Order: sequence, then C-alpha cells, then structure tokens
Amino acid sequence: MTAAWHISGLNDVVVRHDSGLPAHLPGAERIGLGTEAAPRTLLVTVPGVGKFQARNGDDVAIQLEESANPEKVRLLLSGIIRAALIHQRGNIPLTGSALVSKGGRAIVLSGFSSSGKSTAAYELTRRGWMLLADGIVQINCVGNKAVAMPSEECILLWGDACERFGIEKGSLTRHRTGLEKYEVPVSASHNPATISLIVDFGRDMVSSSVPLRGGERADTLSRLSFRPRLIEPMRCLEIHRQMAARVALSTRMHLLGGARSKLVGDIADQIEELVQ
Amino acid sequence: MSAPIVLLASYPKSGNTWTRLVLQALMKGGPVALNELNGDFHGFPRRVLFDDIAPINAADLTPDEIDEWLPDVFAQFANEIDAPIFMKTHDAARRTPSGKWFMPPDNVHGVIHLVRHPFDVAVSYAKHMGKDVDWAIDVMGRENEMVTLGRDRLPPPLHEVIGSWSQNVCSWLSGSPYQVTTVRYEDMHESTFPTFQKIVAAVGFVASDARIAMAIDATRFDKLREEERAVGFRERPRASEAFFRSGKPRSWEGLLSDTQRAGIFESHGKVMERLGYKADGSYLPLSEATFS
Repeated sequence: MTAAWHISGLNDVVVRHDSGLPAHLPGAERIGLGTEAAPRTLLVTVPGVGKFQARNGDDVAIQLEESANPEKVRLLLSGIIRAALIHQRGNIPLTGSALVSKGGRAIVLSGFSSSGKSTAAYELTRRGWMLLADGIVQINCVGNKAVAMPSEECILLWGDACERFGIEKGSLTRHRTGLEKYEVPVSASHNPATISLIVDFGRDMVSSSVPLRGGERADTLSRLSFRPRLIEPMRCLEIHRQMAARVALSTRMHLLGGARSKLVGDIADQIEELVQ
Repeated sequence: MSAPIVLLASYPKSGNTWTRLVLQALMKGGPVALNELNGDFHGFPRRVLFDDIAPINAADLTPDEIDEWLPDVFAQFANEIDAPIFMKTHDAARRTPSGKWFMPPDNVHGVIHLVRHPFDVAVSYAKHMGKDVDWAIDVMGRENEMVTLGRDRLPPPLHEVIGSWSQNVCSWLSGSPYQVTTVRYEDMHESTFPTFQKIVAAVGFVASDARIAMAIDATRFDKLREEERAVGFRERPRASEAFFRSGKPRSWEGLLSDTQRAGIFESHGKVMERLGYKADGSYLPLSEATFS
C-alpha cells in the first residue's frame, strides 16, 4: 500500500513510505501500546497496520502492512502521529475543537472524550461561528498572542447527535466502517486566529462555571494535550512548559463542567456570554 | 506484590462500591468522603486509561477492537505502577475475540469476587437503572449481555460484557486463571468483621483488627445514605433516586411476585445453589455454603 497520505493542518509535512523502519528506536522508552519514544522521535507499531515514525516535527515515515486498514492508517496519522509532530514543534496539540467568530475571535473547546465538545462546536457553527479544527487543535504563540491553527472542515458527530440536530445522515461520510459516527461538513476558516478563550469541559457530571487562574491554566493545557505521556520521553518537556506558560498568560481559560447533562443550546449560550 | 492489580469483580449491585469504600478507608486510615471514592479504573476512568495508553482513542474503535487492545493496555499500566491498585469490574471473566484473557493473569494478584442473592440483585438493579423489575430479570438472563454500549454513540464508560447473572458468577467461580476469593453480600452484612478480614487477607493487606473495624464503621450504610442525601454521589445514575437504598439482604421482600421469583430460580437455580441461595429467597449460613 503506497497511497499518498497527508497530515491535516501540517501542510509542510510529507508522509513518506520507508520499508526499512526499525523494530525499535535505539535507547527508546516504551510509553504505550506499541509506542516508544526517543528524543524528538516517536515510533508506533500496530500489528496488522504497520509502523509509523514521527521525527523532528516535520518528518513522517510509514511502513504499512499489505492488509493495513486505510481507516486505521488515517486515524493514526491524524491522531497520535500528528500530536507527536506538534509536540516536537514545541506547540500544543490540545484535545478539542476550535472555532472563530465573525469578528475574528477564536475559542477552543477542550476536555476529555465524550464531554460534549463537538456537539457544542456544531451548535456554535449553526450560530455563525466557523470551524478551525476538530479533534486536535494545534496551538502556538505569535508574539504575546495564543493562536489556533486551522486543520479540519468537518465536525465528527455521533448518530444520536446528528438526529438531535436534524441532520440527514444518509448524505454524510461515516468516520469509520461499523461506527455510527459521521463527518459533518460545516463552514470553516482556513486562517490562524488569535484565541480569546479556552473552555475546559471538565470530566465531572457536576455543573460548574469557574474561571481558571494562574498555574491552573498551564496545568490544564498540559493535562488536555493529546497524549501528554509523549512529551517527556520525546524530550519536549521544557519547550512544552514554556509554550503552556505563554498560552496561559495570553488567553482566558474557563472550566465549564457538566455539559453533557445540559441542553446544547444553553451550553452555547454560556460560551458566547463568556466570549463577550 | 509482583502482580499489582487486585480485581473487585461482581455482577452489578452486588456490593462492589461498599467493598471499595471499606478498602479505601482502610488504606486511608479514616473515613473516605463518598465523592472522594476513586473510580478504580472502572467506567469512564477505564476509558481515560485506554485513551492514554492505546495508539487510537476508544471513540474511534469498535468494541471488538477495544477488547483486543484492552489486555495490553492493562499490562502496560501494570508495568508502570509501583503500588498495588484495585480495579473494579462488572465484566464476566472472559477472553477477547482472539483468545486472550481481557485482564492479563500475570498482572492480577487476585480477585475479590462479590456475589449477592439474585432476588436482591434484580430489585436493586431495577431501582439503580430507573426501570421495572421485569426489565432487570430479563437483563440478568441474557447471555453475553453487554452494557453501556450504543452503536450510535460511545458513552463515557467503556463497554463491559457482563453476561447473564449465572454466566457472570460462574465465570469467576471456576475456570478462570485467577486466584479468586468469593464473598457473599449477605455475609458481608451478617458476619461483617470476619468477612472483611477474609477480604483484607486475600488482597494482601496487613491491617490490625482495630483498623478493619474502623473502616467498617466508617462505611456503615446509614452513614453512606445520609452522606448521599446531603451531598449526592457522583456514581448514581441519573435515572436512580438514590445509590444507597436499603442495602440489606432480603430487601426483595414485598417487591418480587411469586412469578418473578420462580422465573429467576428457573433461569439461575443451578448457580444459586452453588452459592447457597435458595428458591424461597433465603440462603445457607456462611458455615454451610461451599461456593463449589
């Protein structure tokens, strides 16, 4: 399988096929299932799919097995490999969705899986917001401003969310065979945007609305990074901390807990009020 | 302890939460606030663990694909921790589609297997889920029952294959590769101290009798009920009025019809007898129950 692959939002990265990827990285630390890291390098090996190596923030090499499922290849490239590249660049791959208002203000909705981020993001697009990213948001700093980088034009929604929004599923692309998860096209922006607010959807069912202050902000950015366990073994901890501190200083952050138990319209109202 | 995971395994509503509270009070040396009870890597915390260690998030995988990676996720996790941990599960002892045990035996120190008379389970499970008892009886009879899974969405907790009540109980009673200590809920109530002594010994704790007594007292049902009433309990499902209800054995009395009791015994009688549970809702005293 030698199809061309790309990494969304990282247009300078060329994914090359390399039939000679090593079984292990010299001196690497095993940090997860089939995942090992060395300085500024990550190697992921998934039986039945292949090997994936991300290095120095701009180099991706893959060695796919004959039977590799293209959906899994795409998931690995758009997930852990993309996150590794962003970490290696010293930027933050924040789990969540980013949107930009008509006035050019960007927000990032972050939090653990199932916290309601994508559903709220979709509701905001119905109110005129444009999508910047969904899944992993690349955040960096330009001067003293935190910036969200564009990468996706679709929001992933589960079938039940599509039904609640009255979206006709028949015309949508399934994210994966066998899963009732759909790629819903929305109005998207292709330009980096300054972040005015990062919302943490929390992990509790308990309703809360609390501004995050001081050190809490940088800690939250680290915790909500995609696969924070990659950071230290790739020797990216120092640059990560510096970037998290800069982002924390340059944008507001807010904990909005219990989103799953609220009406999505109410959540969107709250977010829009917070942005004002 | 070379294998750091202690499994607390049970069919739902069989005393798992109470046992976790006692063990955590024991470790802490004092009462544990209800909402400080950690998730013991069950439900949503298990999903967070999976997403942290696996190369693809659970939300992008099918249940079979998640199951296939779970044993390796647990093994990786076990290799990273330096102190024993409790892990709650409602899964039956089971193998993944490719034949691996879903919890790697090499990483499991032992299993505390909690069982409860199915009459009480039916009543408690129905209340817990905000359904009627016939619903619970039906679910308890379903072979290979899988909970918390929807095709059109991935709920926060990862799915569990709990099987039928009989299937779940039998899977832990015999044939699994683990060191299993089976404990009846009824004995936890009626012979509380010796039963928890047995649990404490099985998990490998060294604790004085006074400390065990303190942990038991700190988690008395009346205290738990009062605390839940005052501050709530985050593990209570939205459909349930209260997590801690009666808590007593034979709480089915007055709530199950003759037909419902007969139906449960018809489906699960053979396994009930192995645990000393009788068709009239009574049970053999601990001294006569063999769990064979």
